[in-house]
Amino acid sequence: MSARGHAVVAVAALACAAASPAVAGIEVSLVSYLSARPELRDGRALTAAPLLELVSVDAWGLSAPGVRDARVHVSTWGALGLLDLPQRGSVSGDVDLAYVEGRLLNDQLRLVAGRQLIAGGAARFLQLDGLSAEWSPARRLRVTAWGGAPVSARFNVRQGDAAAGGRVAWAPSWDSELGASYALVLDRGLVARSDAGVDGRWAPANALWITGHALWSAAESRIVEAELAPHWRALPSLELALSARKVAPDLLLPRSSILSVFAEPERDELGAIAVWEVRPELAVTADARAAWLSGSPGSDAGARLAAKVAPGTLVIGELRWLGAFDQGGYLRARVAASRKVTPKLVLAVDADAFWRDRAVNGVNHSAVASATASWAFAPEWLAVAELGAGTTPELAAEARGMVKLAWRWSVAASDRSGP
Amino acid sequence: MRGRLRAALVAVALGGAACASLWGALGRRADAIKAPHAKHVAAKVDCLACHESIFDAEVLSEADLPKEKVCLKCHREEKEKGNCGMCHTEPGSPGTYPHQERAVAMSHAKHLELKEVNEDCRTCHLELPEPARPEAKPPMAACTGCHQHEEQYAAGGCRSCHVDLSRFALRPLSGFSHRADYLRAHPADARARGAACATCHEQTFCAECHARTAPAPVVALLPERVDRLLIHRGDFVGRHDLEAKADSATCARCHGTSFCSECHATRGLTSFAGAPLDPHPQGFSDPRSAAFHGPAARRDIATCAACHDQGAASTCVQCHRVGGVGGNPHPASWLARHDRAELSTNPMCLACHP
Repeated sequence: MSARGHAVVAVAALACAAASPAVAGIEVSLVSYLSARPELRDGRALTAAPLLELVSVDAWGLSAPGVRDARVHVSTWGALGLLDLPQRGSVSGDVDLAYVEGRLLNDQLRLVAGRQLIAGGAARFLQLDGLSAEWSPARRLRVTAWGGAPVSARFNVRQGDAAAGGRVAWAPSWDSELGASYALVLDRGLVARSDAGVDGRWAPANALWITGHALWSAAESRIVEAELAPHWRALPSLELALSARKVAPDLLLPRSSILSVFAEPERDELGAIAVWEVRPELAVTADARAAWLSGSPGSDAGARLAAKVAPGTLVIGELRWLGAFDQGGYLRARVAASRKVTPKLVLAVDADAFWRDRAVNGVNHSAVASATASWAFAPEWLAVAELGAGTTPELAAEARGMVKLAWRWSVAASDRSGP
Repeated sequence: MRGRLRAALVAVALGGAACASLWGALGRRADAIKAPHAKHVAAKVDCLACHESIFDAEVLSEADLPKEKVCLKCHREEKEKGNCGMCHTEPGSPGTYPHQERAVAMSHAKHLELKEVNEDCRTCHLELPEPARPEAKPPMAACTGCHQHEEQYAAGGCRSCHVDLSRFALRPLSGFSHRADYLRAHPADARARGAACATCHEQTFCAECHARTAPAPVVALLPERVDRLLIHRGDFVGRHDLEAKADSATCARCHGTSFCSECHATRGLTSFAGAPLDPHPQGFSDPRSAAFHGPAARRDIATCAACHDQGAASTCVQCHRVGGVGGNPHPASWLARHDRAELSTNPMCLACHP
């Protein structure tokens, strides 16, 4: 965890502790997770056994003058590496979210400060340490602005040093909205992203809605990506969708990358999806896409069946075929089922296999399967155990296991009373 | 190492302090009380006999459930015999009603006064709770049967009744159907109508998959959810190369450019790690080969960047720098949008144009 991560979690935890006597409600979640699985290291299969502890605290309805719906949230985790990997005994951890949120000015302004996810428009789901503000000056109008430091991903993938952006949106109805947005990301003093976008969702009828967006790179004067997707519910049980998508993959690289000057490929895609709820307990989905990467054709198609064959019993079957341009492809099949044996005990099995056109390590197939038991042995407690085995191009035979213990406790202080 | 351990201890201590403080402030959880309504109805016990305070209740609260003294009016003998299990699900540690989060803003007092209700509880309570079915609450149709909600729906005003939808698993609204291939379709809704998503989903839900700091893929953390549409199911490692080649841009959105090289280096799958498992085909460096890297890079530079994005230290720079054997790598259309003046203003250019 970085020094910035320490600061974020310390401030949020202290805020949480200080605010506790005044909260309207609190939810605490603790998940302990221990797994053992083989991993390849320098051609040798070793056992990785991380012990994970995930902690989440959410307190809402904090009383503060002039602020409504104030909330503090912290999601964090710590991990201890066990067994015989090089990083055995290593300790790691990070903060996923840690923010304080509140509504001010008669609900017209919503402020979120801390580590948060920024979604919408050109932001492209940026994880940020910073501040975001959403202002609704009129009933259907919303203005959003955000800024801060992007959070580095696992394996220290850099996302930049600073980022800022915003979006203006007009929502004529609950399910329609038109927005214009901008995002700027700086990395080592260079512009990594400078994107302007428009996006929209229009529902001219209950059974018809169209989503679309386009993102323009101001730094390169090219379209980063654009998509248009109409959806039509032809019957209450039949839904159809089309999508046309255009992406410039090189523009998803930061402009500060040395690789950003080497090529300007374009990827175009056309797709269609149909879902048919044959009966309330039986749904079939089929989808297909054709794509062209700088003129080279590729495609993928799939089908999924989900059936509730009995009360508490779900069976899922999936079939997918992928053609990765001229790099070959695979055919994949999956069968999964879950059954609620008792109100507290759920058993599940999952088998997943694929066959590749081109072999890896002389192997062109992979098959893995697992069985899982979930037991809600007490109110707010859940225990999960999983055992799995398989054969993959990486490992001729592998076995893995996982146990998880989850505790979720919530209470609303305002309702704390009884007989 | 010591720094990380210290950090972990600080985090645990602070988290523990917060939890202990909150625990103390909010009190402990209670057991459940059996409520065999059918027996009471059969015995012709009027609702009012047990639920008198509900006639004045402005909000939903456990405080308006019958107190023990109300039950003892008829069942005192059972208590004196020590038959705690008659009412308590945990007779070994009997307590009060379990907490139920208030999900709906609803005044019983106002409803019971309405002429449509006329103090008849069965107008809304179509089914009454039983010990085996304690969650028998009035369905939403019982509400919408009387109230007209079109205007609230159009304005997204769910909170006029629903206190907070974000903590409750509801079926998606028909206007935001989560059927079909919603794994692919949901970014469009989130991008263009995130406020609607936020009605039911908090950031924490998005973070399960989208937080770049997450310790493991969500499919590994939730193996019991075989129903969820997740990208990395099964032996994803065994097919990830094909997924990446089919749509490298989708990978790059979450994994950036050095995720691949870090993982390949750890597993000894890079040529510079000295392992024999070089992912490049034969002839990748030979201009006379059909597998030469030039056309492949022009077509899919994002895949190259997954491993070779080390700035000025990148292997590409060694050959393609000015005067290098690789020649000018810029595509013609790139040159049309960039002029030589950038060489003095953009420090990245200096890697190849010293």
